[in-house]
Amino acid sequence: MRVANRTAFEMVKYNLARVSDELNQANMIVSTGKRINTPSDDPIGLVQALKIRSDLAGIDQLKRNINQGHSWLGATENALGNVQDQISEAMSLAVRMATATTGADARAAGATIVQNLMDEILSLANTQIGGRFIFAGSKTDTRPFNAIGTYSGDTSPFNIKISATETVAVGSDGSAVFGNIFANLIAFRDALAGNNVSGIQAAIDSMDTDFTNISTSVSNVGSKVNRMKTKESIMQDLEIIKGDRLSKIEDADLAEAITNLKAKELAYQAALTSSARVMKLSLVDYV
Amino acid sequence: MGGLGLVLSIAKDAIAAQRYGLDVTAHNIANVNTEGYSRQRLVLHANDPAQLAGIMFGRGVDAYEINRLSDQVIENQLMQQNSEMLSSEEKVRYAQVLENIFSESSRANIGSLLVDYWNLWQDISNNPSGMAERGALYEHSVLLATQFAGPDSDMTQLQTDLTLSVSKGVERINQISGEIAEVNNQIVRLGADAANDLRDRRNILLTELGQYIDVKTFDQSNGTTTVTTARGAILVYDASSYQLQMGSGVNGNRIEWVSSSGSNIDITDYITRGQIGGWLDMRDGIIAKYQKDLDAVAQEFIWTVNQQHSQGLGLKLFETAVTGTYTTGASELLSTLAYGDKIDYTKDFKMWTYDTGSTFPVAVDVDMGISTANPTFTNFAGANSTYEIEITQGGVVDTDGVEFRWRKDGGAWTAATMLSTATDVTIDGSTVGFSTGDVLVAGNHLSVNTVAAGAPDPLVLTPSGTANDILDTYTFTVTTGGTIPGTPVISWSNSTATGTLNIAATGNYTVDGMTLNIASGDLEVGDTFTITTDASGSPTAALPSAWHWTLDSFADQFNRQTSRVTASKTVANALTFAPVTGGSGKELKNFAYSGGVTAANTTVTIHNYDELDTVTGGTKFRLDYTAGTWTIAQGDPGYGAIVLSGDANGVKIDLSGVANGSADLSASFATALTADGYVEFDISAASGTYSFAFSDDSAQDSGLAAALGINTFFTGTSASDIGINSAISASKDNIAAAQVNSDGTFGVGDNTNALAIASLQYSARTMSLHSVDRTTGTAEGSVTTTIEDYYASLVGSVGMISANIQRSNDFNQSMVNSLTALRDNISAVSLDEEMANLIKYQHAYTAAAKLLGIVDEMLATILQVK
Repeated sequence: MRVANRTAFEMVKYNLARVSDELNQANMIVSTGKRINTPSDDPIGLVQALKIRSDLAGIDQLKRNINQGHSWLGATENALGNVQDQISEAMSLAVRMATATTGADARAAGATIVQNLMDEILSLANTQIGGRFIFAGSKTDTRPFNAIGTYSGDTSPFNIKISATETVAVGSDGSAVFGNIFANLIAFRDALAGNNVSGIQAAIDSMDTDFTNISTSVSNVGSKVNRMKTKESIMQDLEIIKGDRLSKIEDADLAEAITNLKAKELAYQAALTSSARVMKLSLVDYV
Repeated sequence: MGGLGLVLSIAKDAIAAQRYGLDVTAHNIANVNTEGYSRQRLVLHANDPAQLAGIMFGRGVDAYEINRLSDQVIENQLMQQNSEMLSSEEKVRYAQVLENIFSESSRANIGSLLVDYWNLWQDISNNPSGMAERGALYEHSVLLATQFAGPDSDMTQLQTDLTLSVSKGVERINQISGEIAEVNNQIVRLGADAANDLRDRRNILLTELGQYIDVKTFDQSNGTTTVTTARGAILVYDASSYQLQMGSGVNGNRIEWVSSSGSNIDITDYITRGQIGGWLDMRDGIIAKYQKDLDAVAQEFIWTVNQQHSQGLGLKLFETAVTGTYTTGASELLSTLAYGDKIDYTKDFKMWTYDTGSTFPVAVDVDMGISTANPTFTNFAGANSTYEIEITQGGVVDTDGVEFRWRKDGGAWTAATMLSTATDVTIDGSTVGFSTGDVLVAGNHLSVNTVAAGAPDPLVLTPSGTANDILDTYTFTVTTGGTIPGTPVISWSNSTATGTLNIAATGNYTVDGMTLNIASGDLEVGDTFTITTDASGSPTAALPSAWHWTLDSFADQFNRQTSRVTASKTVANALTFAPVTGGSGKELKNFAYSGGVTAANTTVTIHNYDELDTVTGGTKFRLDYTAGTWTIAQGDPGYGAIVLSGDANGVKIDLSGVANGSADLSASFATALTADGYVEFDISAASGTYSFAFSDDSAQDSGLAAALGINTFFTGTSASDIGINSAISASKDNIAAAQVNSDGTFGVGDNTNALAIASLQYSARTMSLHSVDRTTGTAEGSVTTTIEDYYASLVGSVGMISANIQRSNDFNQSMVNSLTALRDNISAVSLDEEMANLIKYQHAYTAAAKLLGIVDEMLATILQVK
């Protein structure tokens, strides 16, 4: 078959352009370190990468939420622990005050102690995190308990988002957590002040119930903390797994990319050499 | 002639012939790099022999002709393939631009901005009253809105640029057509056989023409070539050419063929090849698709966020007027709102109102239902009129009293009452009939046109089939009135198309793929109705004579239910809610509950606030529930209030005591009462200032507030016009992170709505997905997925299309290469070959010259003989 001069030259041009384009692509992958530099490089991979990147951003956010939750639950645990201490102190005081040997004066002094304990519990019930009340239900911006323990929050506790579909209550409905504590303490205090032994004895029982209630709340908080810790570790695992997958989809395998670049370079050199040879040949030189 | 004379003649011819050979070779060598040049060849024939002395002698050589080595079939194939390649080459170039537009490499791309948007809501949920979090969300949303508009305007710009390129291409096509016609002309003049280089020239012109547009050629016997393009339009015939031109006005981006009669034919959608084919594929196909898809995702994103946001509460109640961002058409139909088709009419519109002088919030709960009743009419008093009928107090036909109001031709309203024992009501002479058990919903509106003698003639229209646009609203407006069949003209529009129907006959009319069977009806100018399509394109009509809602009917119904906030229609057909200041009359201030009747279980609805004014005397009255029956206790003197009906599920009271049986006030219970108790109403003179908030009751939210654009986050309906509600720009307090509790109380530290909005990230929505084909039009399907995934797939599909175009371009390129090689093998010059020919002719020339010398010598020899 005859080969026209044009054909030879056009072929050289076309092939060199093609090989140099491939070389450029290979170079792009090595220099950016990314397999996917434009959507068309791997559209399916790109969609997966976008999804994973969105998941990772979501995980990041959830981790922030959980951190926030930990600080709320930590504060709750702390506050309730202290409340338990105060109640047991009040209970032991009640037991002492209920004995027949205790006089009216001692009981009147006891009333002051109870008032102090109650003030202490009130201040714990009005605990704030970052300026927000944790025992106020959703009314986190208003002080939930006044001086006599009347609740002005609401019953829907403050929630945070810990996964795509789950929320966990990190705040508390103060009225449920503290129940009748304040009323009971006031009754106890008044009984002491009034030297009312049967009132003091009744207070032992009621405070026992209060103590149990608070203990239940504390263990609830504990289980929530555990749940969040589990979530957190799942998220850390997910972050690693997803990050790994993202890297597999997006990032170039450097060894492979460089080998490929070398191969393309070689192909380019070969094309140049052979083109130069072919282009030089002409009958003109021999006639 | 014979003897030496013959040899001499042969030598002379041979010398000339070989020199011609050298000439042709030289011409070939000179054109070795000429584009489209076909190598030429000298054709030599041996001369006819002559008989001499009884023997046939050859008479030397004759330079017969110079012909061109060319295969027109391959030339044509090459031209077509080249045309195809240029189309795909342009597509590759613009697909790369499109890829850049949707590039995910930068952080400021829509995909990651969407993720961040949801995350910022989570930040707000972690600290609902934090101004820093609210500010961050606002700034981010502004950026997001800008980024949505970015690709959209980039694509629009790209389309404009492409149209410019197309019009430049059209100019060039006209030039080339003219030149081809001229070449045809010259070939005819020189003779079909004598025009080697002109043919080459014509091939070059045709190839260039093919670079722009589809080209078909037909060789004529006189040597000319007829050239046609898309849709069989003739560009060149014989020595004349025909022009293409850009259309004018709205068709400014279309290509038209100008016939000799001057009529223009639009050939745009038939052009598939050449650069123009590529440009049009990009402009009207690929880019158009992504614009529509981007709009679809923006539209759903705006709605998704707004619907949840409109149910929330910011850091404070609304204390001043709030105006919606969306407007209805002139008809005021709620269904003509941009998101009118999203309103769920099985649900309610709920607002909480607060009085600074009262601790008890009062809910306004408007049942957004559509009456089930299909009324019948007898003749009205007014002929050739339009009657509008509205339900002002709803109920069940034949069980409750129902109150109506009506007006004729936009005049004053007149009240009408249907007793609890009746199934019809008389309206201006017409008996409007219902069936027992029909539910009539207060606030519903309908209109009926009458013809001669006041005979009602409502439009009877039945849609069927499948509309081209899914999840869309088609609005039909009568532009010329009249009775069907006859002169009525209805114009229609939806989000993508418009059209006109002339109802000259009854029967089927096709509108954008669906079929409307129009049977009868009298139409007035301005009458409007809508047809909405679902995710499969199936149409549902809302006709004027069927119960529906308008802005006014809603505002009036809302106002009947509260005295604290006034709803009104603005000039621009938006809705405004404004708190009443220094209101007069009576209002419901407080409730008190006792025993088995509890606040949490009770919903109190006032159906007609005006009736409270009929209450005279004291301020309180009590409804007692005892052993399954309700009685009015402690009714202060002056109360004519009566209990209409009541059981463990609810109680209805008529405050005015007029025994028409329609309830002015009712209480209903979420769970049936099991114990005796009471509810006490504290009715007193209106005072103080009011504020309001929107409900949390998501399970019962009709989406009306979101459709009106009230208490929403975003404005707009598409990628190009998405913006932030000015209420939020003005005060970040209006970012609704909280929700009102079911008893009307609220905490500004609440994050319920923020959590709900953040969860929308994972909520699957049904969105339109377009496939745009220039020749077959747009096909619309739907896909149910999350907003983010839809956008990610959109970017992926841009990449996919770009990759496909690149692949097909690679294929076209290699086809063109091999066809070019094939063509060049036949037609192009090989210098080696020409060098060989050069030597060949040189040797022959030398030999012929030698022949001449020998004859010369022989002649001399003869002359020397003595």
